[in-house]
Amino acid sequence: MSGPLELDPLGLDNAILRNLLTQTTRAYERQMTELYAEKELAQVTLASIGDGVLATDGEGRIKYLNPVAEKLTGWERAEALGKPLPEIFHLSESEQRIDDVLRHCLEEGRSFRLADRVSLERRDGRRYGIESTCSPIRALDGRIIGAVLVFQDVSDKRLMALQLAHQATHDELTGLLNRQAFDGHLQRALEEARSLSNTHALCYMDLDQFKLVNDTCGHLAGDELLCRVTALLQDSMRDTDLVARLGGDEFGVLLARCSLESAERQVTEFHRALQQFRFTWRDKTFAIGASIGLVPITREFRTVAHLLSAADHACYAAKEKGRNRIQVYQEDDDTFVRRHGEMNWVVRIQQTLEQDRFRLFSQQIQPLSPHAAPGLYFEVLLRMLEDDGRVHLPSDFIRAAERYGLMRSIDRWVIRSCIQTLMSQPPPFLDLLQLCSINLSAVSLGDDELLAFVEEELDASGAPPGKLCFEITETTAIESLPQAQRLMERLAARGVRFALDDFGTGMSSYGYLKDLPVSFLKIDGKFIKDVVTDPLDRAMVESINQVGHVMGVRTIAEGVTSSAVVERLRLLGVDFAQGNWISPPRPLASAALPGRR
Amino acid sequence: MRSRTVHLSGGTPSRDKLIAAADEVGRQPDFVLAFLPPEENLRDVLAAMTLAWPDALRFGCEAVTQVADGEVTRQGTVQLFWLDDPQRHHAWIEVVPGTHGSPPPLQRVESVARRVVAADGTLLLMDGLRFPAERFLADLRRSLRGLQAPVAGGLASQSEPVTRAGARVFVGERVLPSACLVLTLQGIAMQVEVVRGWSPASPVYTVTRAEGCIVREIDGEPATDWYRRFFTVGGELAPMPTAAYRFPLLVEGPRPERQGLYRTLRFFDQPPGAVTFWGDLEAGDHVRLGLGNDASLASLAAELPGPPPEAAVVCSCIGRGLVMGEQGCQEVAAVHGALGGAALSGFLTFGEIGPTPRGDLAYYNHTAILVLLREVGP
Repeated sequence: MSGPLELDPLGLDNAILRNLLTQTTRAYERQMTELYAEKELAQVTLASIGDGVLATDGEGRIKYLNPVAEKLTGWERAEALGKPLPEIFHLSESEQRIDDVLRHCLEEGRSFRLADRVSLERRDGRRYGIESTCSPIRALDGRIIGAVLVFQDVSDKRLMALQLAHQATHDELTGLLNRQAFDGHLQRALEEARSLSNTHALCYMDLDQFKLVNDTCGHLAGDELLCRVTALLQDSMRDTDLVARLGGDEFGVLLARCSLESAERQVTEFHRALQQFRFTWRDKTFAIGASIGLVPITREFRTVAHLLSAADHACYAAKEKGRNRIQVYQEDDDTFVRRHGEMNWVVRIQQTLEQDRFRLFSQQIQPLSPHAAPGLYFEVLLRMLEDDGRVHLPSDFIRAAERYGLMRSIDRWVIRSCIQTLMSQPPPFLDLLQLCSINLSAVSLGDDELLAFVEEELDASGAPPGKLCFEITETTAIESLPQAQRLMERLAARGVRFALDDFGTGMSSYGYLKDLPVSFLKIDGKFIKDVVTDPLDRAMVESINQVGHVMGVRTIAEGVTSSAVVERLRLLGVDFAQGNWISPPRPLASAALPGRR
Repeated sequence: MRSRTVHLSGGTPSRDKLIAAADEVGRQPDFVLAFLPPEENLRDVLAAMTLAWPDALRFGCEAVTQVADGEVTRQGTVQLFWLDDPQRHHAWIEVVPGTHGSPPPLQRVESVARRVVAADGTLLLMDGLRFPAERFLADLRRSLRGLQAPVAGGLASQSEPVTRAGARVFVGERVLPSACLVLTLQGIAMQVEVVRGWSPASPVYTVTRAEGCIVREIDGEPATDWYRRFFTVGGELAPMPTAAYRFPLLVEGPRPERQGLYRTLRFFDQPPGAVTFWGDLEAGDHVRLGLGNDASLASLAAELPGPPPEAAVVCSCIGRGLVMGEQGCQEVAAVHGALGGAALSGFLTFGEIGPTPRGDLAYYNHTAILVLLREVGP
C-alpha cells in the first residue's frame, strides 16, 4: 500500500476510512464474541438454577423456557415457543389469572407476585404448589419488551410447613391437640359463649392409675396406655368435639355446642368404656380409672385460665371424693372453696421461703426402755411465720404446697436449716444427740436429685449422718417403692436412719419392712390415744411392737396424752413415746437441753 | 430591528466610509459588532469606529477569518444594528475578566447567569487563548440550574503559531486580553442552531486518562497508539493533526451534558504519548471518531421554518474551515442566500458555544453555530 505522503487528500481519507472500517469490524466481532459468551453464560446459568424461568415477548408469547420450567409445565421449549403464556402456564386453585398478572406487569412496568398457595397445573394434570414473580423485561432505552416469570416448586416446603404447624399444635405421642392449641379453641368457645350465647362444655380428666403403670411397667407401657386411652376417648366423642392431651396423664375435651346434660351423658359413656377397659402389659393387667371434671362454658367465665381452673377444681373434687368418677363443677361446693384457698397459700408459701420466715421446732421423743441410750431424741417440726407474727401449722399449708409443687423447696429448706442448726449448737450437744428426725414428703421421695442434695449437705456440714433420721409415711414409701428403696439404701449406707411414720394407717405390710432399711416404726396416734381402754387398739400396738422388734426395728408411739398411756406403752414394750403431754414443740435452737417428764 | 454588514477592505477604514454605512437609516447604530483581524492597526480601526459612531455600543473580537454577508474575508467585518424601539429593546455588554489559572469568581458567574436568564438572548465572545472558556461555561451551566436560555458565541482566533497579540476581545477602544464579553439582549429574540455535521464512524471507546485538553490514554492504550490504529497508512503515520481534522472526536456521554460534543485534534504526541485537543475531555468520556455527513450551515439555514431573521451571526470552527477548504466560502454564500439576504457577520473560531442536543450550554470544536436575531414585537 502507498504511504500517506504519496496519496492525495481523498486517497488518504479513503485509506483512513478503510482503517476505520477494519477497526469497526474487529470491534464488532469482539463484541459479538463477548455477547455470545455472555449469552452462553446466561443460558447455562438459567439452565442450572433451581427455579423455573419463562420469558415472553411484549405480546405475552413464550420466548424462552429453562429446563426447570419445562419440567414443571410439562412443555418442551420448542413446542412452547410462540404460544400465549396462559396456554403453557395454568394456575389452579386460584382466583388469580396469569394473563391478568402478565397484562398488569407489561402495562404498569413493575413486578407482581402471584398469590400465596397457588398451584401450577402441569400439562399432564399433576399439580405443584409454586411461588412465582412476574417482572417486566426492558430494553436499553427503557421500553418494556417482554416479561419474565420466575417460579419454584414449593410443594415440599408447604407440606413441611403444614407438618410443622401440626407439630406445633399437636402432641407427638397421641396426635391430639396440645395444650397451647387447646387454649386457643377454648378462647374461641368462650367468646362464642359470651357473644352468641352458645353453650359448650369442658371436660378435664386425669388417669388414676397412670403412675402405677408407669412405675411398675416402665415408660413405654405408660405411653402405650396413653395411646389406648386416647383411642377410647376419640371413639366416645363426637366429630365436632376437640380432644387434647394437656400434659402427663391429663386430657381435655371441648364439647362444642353441647348442653351440660348432653356433655354429662357423653362423658359418662366414655367413663363406662374406660371402666370396662383393661390394660395389659406383658404379664400384668391393670384396671384404669379416671377422675373427670366437667364444666359448662358459659358467659360467666371471664378468661380461659378461669375456665381451666374450674375444670381442674372439678377434677380435683372427683379425686377427693374417691377418684374414678365424674364431678360437675359447682362454684359453692366446699371442695372448690377449699381449693381456692389452697391457691392463695401458694403465694404465701413462696413469700415465706423468699423471706426466710419458716421456723423449725422440735418435739421430744422420750425413751421408755431402760436400755435406750441416754441423750436427746426429737422430731423436727415446721412452722410458718406470718408478717404479723401469726404462726401456721403444716396442716394449714402442706396440702397447697404438695398440690402446687412447693414441697420440694420446703423439704430442702428444712433439711439444710436443720443440719445448720444442729452443727451450730455448742458442745456437748452433738455428743448428747441420739436422734434428730426430719419428715420427708412423698414428692421429695420421688425427687431424683434429693439424694445428691442430702449427701452434699452432709459433706459440706460435716454433720454425723447417724444422728439423722428421715420419717416417711408408710403409704408414701409403698407408693414410691423403687425410689424409697434407692434413697433409703444409699443414705442408710452412710448411717442415716429411717422411720416409717403413721404406721398402722396404711397397708401395714410387714413384708415391705424386709426390703426397706427402716430403723423405727412410728405407731399412729389413733391407736395410742385409747390404748389403755380399747383392747383392739392395745392389740394393734402390741402386734406392731412385737413384729417390729422381731425385725430389729424400734417402735415410737405418737400422740401420747397421759401418764397412764405411757405406763401401758412401757408394759407393752414400746421403745419410745412422743406427744404434747410429754413435751410440746419448742424452737429447735432451744432444744439443746429439753425438759423431761 | 435593522442591520447591515460593512465589509472592511484592509487597513484603517475611513471615518466617512463608516459614517456612510449608516446613511440609509439616518442615525448612528445602536450597537456595533465587529470581527477584526489581529493586526497592528487594530486599535486604529477601533478609533475610527469611535469617531464614526461615538454613541453606539461597540464590541467584538479578533478573528483570523471573518464572514461578511455571503463572503469569507480576512479584512474584517462590522455589523451595525438599529433597534426600532430603543425604549423596549436593549443591548448590554458586561466584561468578565479571567485567566487560564483563575476562572471568574463564582459570585460573578452567578450574576452573569441571572442576567442570562432575564435576557431574550446572550452572545458570548471570549479570548481564544487566555480565558478559561470551558470552566466558565461549566460554572455558568451549573448556575443556570437547568434553566435553558438562548446562549451562543465563540472564541476569538488568530493564525498559528499563536502570539501574545491576537484572539482578544474588545469593547469600545479597549482591547481586553483574558476576558469574556457577555452581550445580553432584551427585546431581541435569539435563535441558536448548531450544525451537527459529524456522524460516528468508529466503535465506542473510553477515555481512560485525561487532564483538561490533554488525553493520555484511550481504552487503556496510549492515545498516540490509539490514533495510529486509524491513521497509519502503508505502514506510515498520516500527517497529524491535519489528517485527523476530517475525523474529529465525537463525545457520546455517558454524562448527558457531554453528549453531542465535538473535539478537534490540536497536537499529536505532545506531550509525548498523548494528544491535545482544542477542548477538554474527561476520563470516562465515551468517544468515537466522526465522519462528515450531509448536514451543513447551508442546509440548516435552508430548512429553517418561519420568516427570515433580521440579522444573523455565524461562529464556525477554524478546523471545520480547514476541512471544507473552498467549500467553506460556498457555504457562507449559500447561508446568506438562505437567510433571505439578512445581514450576516461572523468569524472562524477557536471554539464554539452553543446548546447540546439536550439543551445544555456546551463548548464545541469542529462545528458551526448560527445565531438568528429577530426583534420582538409589542
